Amino acid sequence: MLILSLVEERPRHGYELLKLLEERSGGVLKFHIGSVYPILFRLDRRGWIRGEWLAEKGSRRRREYRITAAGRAVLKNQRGVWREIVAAIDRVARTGHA
Amino acid sequence: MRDWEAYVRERLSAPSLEPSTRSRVVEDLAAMMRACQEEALSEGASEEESARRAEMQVPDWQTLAAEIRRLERAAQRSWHRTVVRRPIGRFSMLTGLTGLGQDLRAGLRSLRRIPGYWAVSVLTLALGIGANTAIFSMVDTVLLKPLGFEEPDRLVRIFSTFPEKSIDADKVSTGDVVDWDEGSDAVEGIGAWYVMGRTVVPDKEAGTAETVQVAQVSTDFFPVLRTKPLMGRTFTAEETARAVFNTAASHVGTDPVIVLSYAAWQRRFGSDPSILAKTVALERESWRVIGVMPPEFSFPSREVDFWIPWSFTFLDHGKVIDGARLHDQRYLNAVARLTPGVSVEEAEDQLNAVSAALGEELPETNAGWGARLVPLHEDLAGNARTTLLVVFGAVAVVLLVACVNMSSLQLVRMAERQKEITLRLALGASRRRLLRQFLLENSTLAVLGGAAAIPVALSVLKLLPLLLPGGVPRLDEVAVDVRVLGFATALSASVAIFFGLVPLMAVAPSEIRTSRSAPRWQKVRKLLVVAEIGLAVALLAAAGLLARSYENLYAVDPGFRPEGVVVVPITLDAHEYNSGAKSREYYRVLREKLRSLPGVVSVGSVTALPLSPIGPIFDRPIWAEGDQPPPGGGNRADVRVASPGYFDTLGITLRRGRGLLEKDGPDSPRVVVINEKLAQQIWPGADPVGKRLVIDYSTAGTYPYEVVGVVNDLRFYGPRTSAKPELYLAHAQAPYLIQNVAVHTSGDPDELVPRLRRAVLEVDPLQPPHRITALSRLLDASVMQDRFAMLLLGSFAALALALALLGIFGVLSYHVGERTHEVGIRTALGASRRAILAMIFSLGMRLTLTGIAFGVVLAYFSTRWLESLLFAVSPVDPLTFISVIALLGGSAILACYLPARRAASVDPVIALRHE
Repeated sequence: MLILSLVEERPRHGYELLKLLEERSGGVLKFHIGSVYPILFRLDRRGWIRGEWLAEKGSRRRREYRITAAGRAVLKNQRGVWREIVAAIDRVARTGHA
Repeated sequence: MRDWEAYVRERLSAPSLEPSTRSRVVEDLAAMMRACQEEALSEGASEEESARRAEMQVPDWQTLAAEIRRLERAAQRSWHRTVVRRPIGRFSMLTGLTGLGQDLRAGLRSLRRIPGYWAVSVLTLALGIGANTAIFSMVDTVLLKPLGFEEPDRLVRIFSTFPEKSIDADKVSTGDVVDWDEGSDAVEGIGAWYVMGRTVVPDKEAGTAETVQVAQVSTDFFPVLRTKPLMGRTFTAEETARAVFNTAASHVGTDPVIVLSYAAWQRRFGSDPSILAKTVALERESWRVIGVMPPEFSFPSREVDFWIPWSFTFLDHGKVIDGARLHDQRYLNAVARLTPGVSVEEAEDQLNAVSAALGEELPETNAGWGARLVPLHEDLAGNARTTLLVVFGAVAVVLLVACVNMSSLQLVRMAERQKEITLRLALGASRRRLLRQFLLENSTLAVLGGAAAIPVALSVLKLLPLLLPGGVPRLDEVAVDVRVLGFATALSASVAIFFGLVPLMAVAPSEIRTSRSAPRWQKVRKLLVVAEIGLAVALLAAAGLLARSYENLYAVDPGFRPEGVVVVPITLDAHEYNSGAKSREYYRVLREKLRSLPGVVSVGSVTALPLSPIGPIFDRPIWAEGDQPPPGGGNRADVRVASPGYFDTLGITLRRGRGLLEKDGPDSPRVVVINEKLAQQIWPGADPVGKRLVIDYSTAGTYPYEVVGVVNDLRFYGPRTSAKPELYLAHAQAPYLIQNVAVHTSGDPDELVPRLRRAVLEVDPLQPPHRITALSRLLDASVMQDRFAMLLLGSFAALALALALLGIFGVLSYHVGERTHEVGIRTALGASRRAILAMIFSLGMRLTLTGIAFGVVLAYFSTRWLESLLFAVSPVDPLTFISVIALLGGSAILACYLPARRAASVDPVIALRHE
């Protein structure tokens, strides 16, 4: 869900996603390439994001990921489920009043 | 800057990946690591430090490679699923074999975890399916399986009827058989026979003298049945034509021939393969053996050892009598083969048309008489049909109760697995896949239960004939064969589907998701318990009614005293005892000899004794002397020929006049003793003693007899029947070859048997008796079928009751477990032990009472099926119903008590500690 949200804004490349996760969570969520890459790979394989090669200097390329229509639908659903879960946990644990 | 692509390629070992995917992954990862190093460099880190930071981004290359490989494989599979199998997606539940093995293993694993549940389920199923299979194999053999004759559907029994006197299944006369056969094209032929005891004496070849049952059969008997002999042949028309008997049933023809049963061939001749060249010494005459029947041929009964031919011709003191002209003596049995395409009803109409014509032509013997046809199969099954169907219905109900119990267990398991189910759904298991796994689990149980049911069925089948001999005909032929196994398999399959699907349907698949479905399945479970109780009540009521009926049968006064009486049936050799004087003398000597045995109180004999299978039963037209004989036969009475002492021995009471005495000899006036029913019929309100009764002996003439006494009525044909008009002639005045000698002993009847046998052989070593039996055993045998139904239904009802109690107990126990906290709180707040007990009890009793109410309604409508089996008790007998309600209510209280006590003894501290 987090990665889908990030690529929803605009297409991003792999390392950029890593940095953004860390930045936006205020340093709470820290990942390295070894753990994020399999997620990207899976999302790509499922057709929720699509990777495109962009030329860099020289013969090098980097891969940029953008969200697909399917990915958008999944994200919408996941956001709903998440909100429900949070609200439920909140109600049970009364975190709002604590 | 480092060459990250080379770095990654070196470390990422993923040979299973496609080359294009692999190079993409390598390039992608390299780009990310490069970006990382570039960032570090831009922050001012050294070349070395920045490279190290990038390297740190993938601490474990092996794990990463493995993860990518796994994801790739999963993706391939899902692609395969969506693209390749989509077109048959609807059937994937059946065709998805990959998952099937996995599910089966998962099912077995989950069953192994709970051996108790597993064992109870398999045991319940094995008992339920086993009992059903056993009863089915009986029903199959007795009611469904062909008889071993060719085209058995075309075989019918023919009975004489006289609707005006409500006679609906009398025997037939020789004349009727000939005229029906000639006057109708609805039957291909009519085979007639009668069975009598005859003596086989030892010849040079074989053993001891014995009295055997011999069927004397007409020309068409074997051709109608169409059973091929095992060896040799059956009778030719010529052999039948020359088989002439005299009026004492003694053979007077030439070159007599005989056909053996398989059993007789084995027993008497040690399965001698050259038997066809030998002879049998029947009644001291040599009969040439021409055939041996196959083992499965047992018509008209298993007791018959020999078949001999018979033309319908008699020789009466040198005078030839043509049986084709004899219409008034109905003593024959008949079986006919219908012409192809003719229905039983059509054939019956045709025979009745012939009878009607005969009635006009010969009004004295045939007016009012008709014919009734019964399919042979139905006739052989007899009363057993209703009994077996009732028992079959009962055992099916037991299986239903077992299934309901299983469903209930399933519901509990579903509830316990709620977490597992929710988790698996969340992890992406499809609902269909879950359903499949549950079905597989159930099928595994059903297959195991079905397999365990076979030995159960076999032992039931082995034990039943031992425990309840003579319960139903052909019980000895019952075996587990392919049909029966097929039935067991089908039953197991439907059981698996029933108890597997019912809970799944009750708890709709959509509800599997949420744990909020608990109250609903609890409700379903309570309903199941109510259903169980209801079914148990209905079965108990049925069993109770049969028990009451059985008790009534025993309480009926048969009109005689069976205790201490032993029956010695004797059929004198017609050749040796060819005169009345010889027969008279033999029985006089025998009576004296038996009377002298120690322990013997009295001795008397009669042609046909109540319940004895041996002995001629016939009735004759009778009227008071001076009256005109009414046309069509008028009043008839059963004729018995008895000796002095017979009434005393059987405990038959003299109401008026005297009994038969020694002085009633051949030269003194002819006397008769009649029963009260006959007295009432002929001389209503008057004293018959001293009056004269005329008996019509047909070709032998009519004779008047002086009535010397009146005795009480007998239920001659068993406790279910009412008394018929009867008369007793003196044996000395009408000597008969067949007598059932009754011996009243003050000691143990069974101990007397061997001494009686010895005494009989001392009088004439070549004249053995038939089977000697205590009269009380014959009485027992007459209610054997009632016993059979009662005991089986009783056991099934007990089983159903136990299952229903287990059901109540289970629901309440679960309920108590669930409410432990609540009970703890209540106790903590001051609820008394009694209040807690009442709380649990009231739930249990609510279920029980609803179940009982349902069961009473069910029983009220279903016990009607039993009506024909019941004796002197109404199918809705209030006493039985009340007892059943009390029994079930009482045992339900016990079943409720244990869980309730557990609830009441909940320690509030322990119960609340969970919070």
